[in-house]
Amino acid sequence: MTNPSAARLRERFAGSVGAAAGADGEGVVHVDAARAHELLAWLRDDPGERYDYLTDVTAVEYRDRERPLEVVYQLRSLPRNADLRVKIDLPKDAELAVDSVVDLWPGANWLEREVWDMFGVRFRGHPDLRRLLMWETYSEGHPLRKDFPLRGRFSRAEQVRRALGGDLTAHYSLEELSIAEAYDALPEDLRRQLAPRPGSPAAGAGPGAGGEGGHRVVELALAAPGRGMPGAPEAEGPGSAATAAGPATPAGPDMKTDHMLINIGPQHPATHGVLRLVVELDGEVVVRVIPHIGYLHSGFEKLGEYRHYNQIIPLTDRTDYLSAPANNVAFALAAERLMGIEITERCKVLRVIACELSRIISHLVWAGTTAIDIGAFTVFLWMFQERERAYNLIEEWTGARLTTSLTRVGGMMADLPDGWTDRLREWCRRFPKTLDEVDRMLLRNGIWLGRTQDVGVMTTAEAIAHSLSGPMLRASGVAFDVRKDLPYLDYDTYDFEVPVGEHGDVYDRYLVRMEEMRQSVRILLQALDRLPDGPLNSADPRVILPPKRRAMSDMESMIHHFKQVMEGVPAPAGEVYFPVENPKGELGTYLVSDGTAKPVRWRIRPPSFLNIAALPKMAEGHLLSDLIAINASVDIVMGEIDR
Amino acid sequence: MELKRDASSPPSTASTLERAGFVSPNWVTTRLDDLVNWSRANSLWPMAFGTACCAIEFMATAASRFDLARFGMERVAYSPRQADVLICAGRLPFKLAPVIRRVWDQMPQPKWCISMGACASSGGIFDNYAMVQGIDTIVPVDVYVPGCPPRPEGLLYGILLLQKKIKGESVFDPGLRVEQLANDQGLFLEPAAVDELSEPFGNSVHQTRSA
Ligand code: SF4
Repeated sequence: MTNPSAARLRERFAGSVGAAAGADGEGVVHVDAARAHELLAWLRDDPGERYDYLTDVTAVEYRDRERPLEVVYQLRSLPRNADLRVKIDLPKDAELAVDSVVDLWPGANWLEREVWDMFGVRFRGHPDLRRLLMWETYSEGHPLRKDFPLRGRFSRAEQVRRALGGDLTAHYSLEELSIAEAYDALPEDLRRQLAPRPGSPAAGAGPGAGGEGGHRVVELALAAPGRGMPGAPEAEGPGSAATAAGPATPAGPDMKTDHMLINIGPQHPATHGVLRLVVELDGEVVVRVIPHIGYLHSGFEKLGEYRHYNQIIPLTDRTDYLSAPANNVAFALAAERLMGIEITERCKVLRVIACELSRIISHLVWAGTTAIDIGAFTVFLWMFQERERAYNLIEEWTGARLTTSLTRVGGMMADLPDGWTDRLREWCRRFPKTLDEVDRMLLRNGIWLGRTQDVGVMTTAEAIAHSLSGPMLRASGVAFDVRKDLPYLDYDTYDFEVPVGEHGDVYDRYLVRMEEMRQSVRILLQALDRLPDGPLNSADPRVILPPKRRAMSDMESMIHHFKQVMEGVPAPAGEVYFPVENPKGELGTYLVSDGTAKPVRWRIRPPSFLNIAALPKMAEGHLLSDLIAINASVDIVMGEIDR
Repeated sequence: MELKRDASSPPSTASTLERAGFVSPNWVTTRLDDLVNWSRANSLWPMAFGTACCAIEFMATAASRFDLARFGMERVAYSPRQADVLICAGRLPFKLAPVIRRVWDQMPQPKWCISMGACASSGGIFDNYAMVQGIDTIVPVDVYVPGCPPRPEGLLYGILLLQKKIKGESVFDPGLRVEQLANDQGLFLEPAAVDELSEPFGNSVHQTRSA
């Protein structure tokens, strides 16, 4: 089945639209690089298409050197609930460049930078095309290109030398920051937003009113009366100071206030990992914040091209290490769709249990660390106590606390131990009480409310344009949950609600996540009720190893066993994008196979990568302390952001 | 125990040194070592350099169930200048290498380093272009804690081992507290040593074939 949008595209952009392949119900269209931008704009704006949400931008290079490199846009229409994948072929002998779509979807900003960094594809018209994951002076090339060796081009000593020696300032690309111009580069609405901060009642100065020092309105207005500004009404005495400063106070040169540049991270307890924020402050107000990522770039996607499908599962543990079981499930589902494998009923229910349990343990860490950042240490201890209890369950099941490697392609690594379901039931009974206690402690707490309400607001339109997902998107009022809208693992047969916020601020994100934990408990209980007996793994002989007993006694089985372990399981040529609702948001697994046992491309659509990319949008204009709260509310995990 | 003191004879004013005539000269240094090492070992202030998954287990170690404070580590420092143990919990990509080096250089002596987890100790499963193959190519390491991630008990065992090591040190050993500075290339080991430490081992030797 091909996507109907493909037919309409071909009609409208005749000659620029190539083959429309349909892999497993997914619409894929190849389009001409020259008209791609126009075509994508049409897809976004046409009332019949309305692909308003950019899920992902990435690129694929095939092992076959003759094949062109492909830039892939994964689009979604939220109102129509339809997905479309648009591909641009870039022959390798020509210049690798396409038009940027940041003007259509601001969320494309970091995605395109990553493609530039990893593949060397230039995006014409991108506002800030710098490396993202590697550092600016990285000189070995573009790591995800097929001619780039797995271990890099230089010897290890040379790599260490280059990383440590040389001009570290260039390495950190500090030169991008020149304070003087920063304010003037801000968009108009932000400048207006900066001026009337609460506490500076005299911020009536409109654009242009402040003369050369527009952004210094706050200080100028407060300082004005005593200074006898020319043209300002006579205002004597400090009592009238607040009201007297009229609009349009021209700036004197001696009243310049300097902006301050501070650096937070990459080693800082409040950045939740090795995130680095370069913040420009005007007093305490954040004028600009530039997140730097890549400090935990571990080359997951490159490594995946050198591993069999089952060997990738341990890697997925370590991307979003706060919810390893859910990542395992996400990858297994994608690989199974690629190979066309049906999993058993019992396996499905066990995977639902794994997903919901990891949603809870991930949100627990989020709640605990966010509370620490805002000053409530008790919540951290309570949440970690619950997490330890959940760890006990996970450990019983998988043998590991954190890095579970729970699934296999076609099934699970292990079945539940005896009595486990009762222990989970007991935990489900007790756990919501902790949530209630935390709610009681925080929601009646003036400090908590003051620090979270109306802080870091993302409106619905902004959240969609920035490709936010998961609780971040829902807190901004978009009722999109992959479990409901693109159901997998029979989620449509479970009875649960999707909490949606109204204000899109830190407070709503808190409420949404707390409620999600309660809903997860509901799902867990339903899953326990329906857990069927029966086989755990699919019977597909391609992926499931013969039982040990047969492998040791029967020649055929032994050969089969050996080949599967040593050579892996080949997947048919094709590709698949499989989204799941992870605790952080939509985790997409994009797998491309050329028929061998190792994927050509394993792309993770990282939810918190896109969520944190919107941090400047959320934090600019707020106080520095709010920046910490906002950053915490995003729920980032660097392993997934940097991959 | 109550000290009994004879009121007629005043307490001895002879210092330890004066009485050293009938004990070995090493007696003083040994006692001083004991005292200093005892206090150092039991009041370690860790600098938690948490980067990845292992940092979550470090957090669990610090939280209520495992309670790091029992070992004199009540205060987790986030400032290198008030810390004595660098705990690198998690993988260390090349992009982060200058950061940990700088953190280490900022820590005052005496200082020690624990490498927590397979990644910090050897690069772990990430034998690729992005990852430092063991932080001992960047900073000197005292204790390696294996595991991926090590369990909190494992980390605690590593800390106990470090305490044991500290208790065996001598305050007067001039070789112990020397800063191992990096040269202007950023290396504190010979390039050949870095290469040797970073050699692939085990399975990853064979896993460099794509398809
Ligand atoms: S050793 Fe394992 S758990 Fe620790 S950082 Fe490395 S991958 Fe993560």
